[in-house]
Amino acid sequence: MPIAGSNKQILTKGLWIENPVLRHVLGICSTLAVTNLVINTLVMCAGLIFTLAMSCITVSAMRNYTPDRIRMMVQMLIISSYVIIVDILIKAYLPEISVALGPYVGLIITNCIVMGRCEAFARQNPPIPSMLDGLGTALGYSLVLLIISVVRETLGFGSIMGFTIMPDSFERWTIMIMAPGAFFMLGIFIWIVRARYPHLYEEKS
Amino acid sequence: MEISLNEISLTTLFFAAIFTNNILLTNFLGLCPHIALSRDLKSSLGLGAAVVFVTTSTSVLNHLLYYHILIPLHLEHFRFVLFIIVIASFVQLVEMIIDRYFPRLYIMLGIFLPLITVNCAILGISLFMVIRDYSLAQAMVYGAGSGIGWMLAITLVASIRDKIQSTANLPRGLEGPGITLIITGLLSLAFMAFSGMIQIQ
Amino acid sequence: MKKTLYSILYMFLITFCFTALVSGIRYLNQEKIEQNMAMRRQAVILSALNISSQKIDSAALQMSLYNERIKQRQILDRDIYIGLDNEGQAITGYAFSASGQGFWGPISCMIGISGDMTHLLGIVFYENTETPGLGARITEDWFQKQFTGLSLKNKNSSGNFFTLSPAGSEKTSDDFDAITGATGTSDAVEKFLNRELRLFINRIAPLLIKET
Repeated sequence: MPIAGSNKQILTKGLWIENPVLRHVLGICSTLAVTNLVINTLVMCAGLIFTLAMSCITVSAMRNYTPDRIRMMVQMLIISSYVIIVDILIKAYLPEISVALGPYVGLIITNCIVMGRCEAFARQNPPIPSMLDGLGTALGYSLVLLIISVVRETLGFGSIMGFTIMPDSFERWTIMIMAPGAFFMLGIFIWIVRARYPHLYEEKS
Repeated sequence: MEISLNEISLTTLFFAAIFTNNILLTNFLGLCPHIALSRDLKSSLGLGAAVVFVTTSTSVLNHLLYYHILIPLHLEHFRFVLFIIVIASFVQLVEMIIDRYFPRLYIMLGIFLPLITVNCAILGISLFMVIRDYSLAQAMVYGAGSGIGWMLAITLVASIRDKIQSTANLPRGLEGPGITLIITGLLSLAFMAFSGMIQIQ
Repeated sequence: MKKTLYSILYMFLITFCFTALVSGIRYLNQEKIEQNMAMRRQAVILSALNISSQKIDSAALQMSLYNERIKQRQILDRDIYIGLDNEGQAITGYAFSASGQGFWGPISCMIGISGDMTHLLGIVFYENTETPGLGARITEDWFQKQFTGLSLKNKNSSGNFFTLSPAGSEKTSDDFDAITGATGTSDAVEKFLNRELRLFINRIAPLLIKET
């Protein structure tokens, strides 16, 4: 299978046109839960970016040797090894955030985007484009979640990254901290983007 | 030590896992298949049933393997790998058994089974079980309760979507994932009302 | 057959490689992780004993403060942390860790008791898996601060030092605000804290006095 487009195109298409969240609504499970604080979202997204880029390189570098039948197992092994590495690094260098993230770091393993990019792209392409593809997809994903977390933290805690930005008289929206707020925010965000750019995200029905 | 860490009763845990801490509505786990497949009631039921079966069995399996193999060997940090491989191979095994002996059931569940491996809810349940120090019985009940809770959420959303699609006139951008997320948000809000329920028993 | 063998060997080989890689990285960071955990525990102890309520940014500073002001004893298989005053002489308080089953999983806290064992200096909940936004609010300042100054002299009719009841209701000095919407967590906290406090007063305190 030929490489789809130049390196730059591969990198940028994940950001917008092929944005995993806006277009396919994939992979949000592991991160949506921690989007009520910007700092937690940043760390989770950094973890995903690392895992996705590294997994794509590894899967791609091994693509000619991996027997087809066991490729899912091999991919799972590769992905989970990188996730453990991320987990260890967060524990070592960001101990407080590691407590707040709890089990969610481990759940990057089941983030459908990681498996999805390995299967759809890295399995058939050389390492460098695969890495760029993973990087672009992960960045596009992080972009959407960061926007959501900024809105949630501002309305829910009246702060961004822990710095209070709203006046004292501001009534905090408790719902934004809790689960329903995340669902509403993502739903509305997708609605706005799709209404604005209908040609990009036409539903194929 | 006189502190017993396993005071929570099994029935309480079971109902709490379904209603107050619904794995989908409060922990956001299992969202991807939820959004993609909650189009119609029938397939949601099929997928839900498969998930209940797999969550119950894998939480027991993972519990046994974690406490009897990983802990004695001091390999706790490999639990991610172990859990995901157990889940993946269990799903494959179940698929083969069902295909071989229950062909009718296979036609019903068949296409959903492979999707389960990447359902974060399953791995999430195994991870929560370890973090919360559940006993084997608690792990099983928690697995079953969470599976049923997931099934309940996805079938509810599927039926609501069905109604909306046939009657309401939605703005174009909101169709599909947008409205699914908003319905899920409303349900999640509604389920928060259950949080007082558990203490009654 | 040859293919199967290749698959098995291949899987075995890469499992080995990745296990080695992960173990290597873990080994390199193990010390750092353990140090982080120790630092976190020290901060919790210092805060429960009201020695430093602020977070100390420098690890060395916290370490020296801890070494100067905290002594450790073992009584009834339990670690008791003894807080000393500025000169490192007089005892200002005792801290010990307590845990109990919360609504979802274990809750652990550090309890600080005054040097004369008459009242609480503070409580820090440092570990829980309760629902974020509900039960997990036990770690919020307003909840923990309520316990500061609680008298250990009198017990109510059911033998408890304090009760938690819904916010907004009529309060006495040993009745604190529970967390709205998290009755399960509040009940659990009330139960195990009272049990641990009784244990301290009835069994640990006499031994501590005898020793010092």
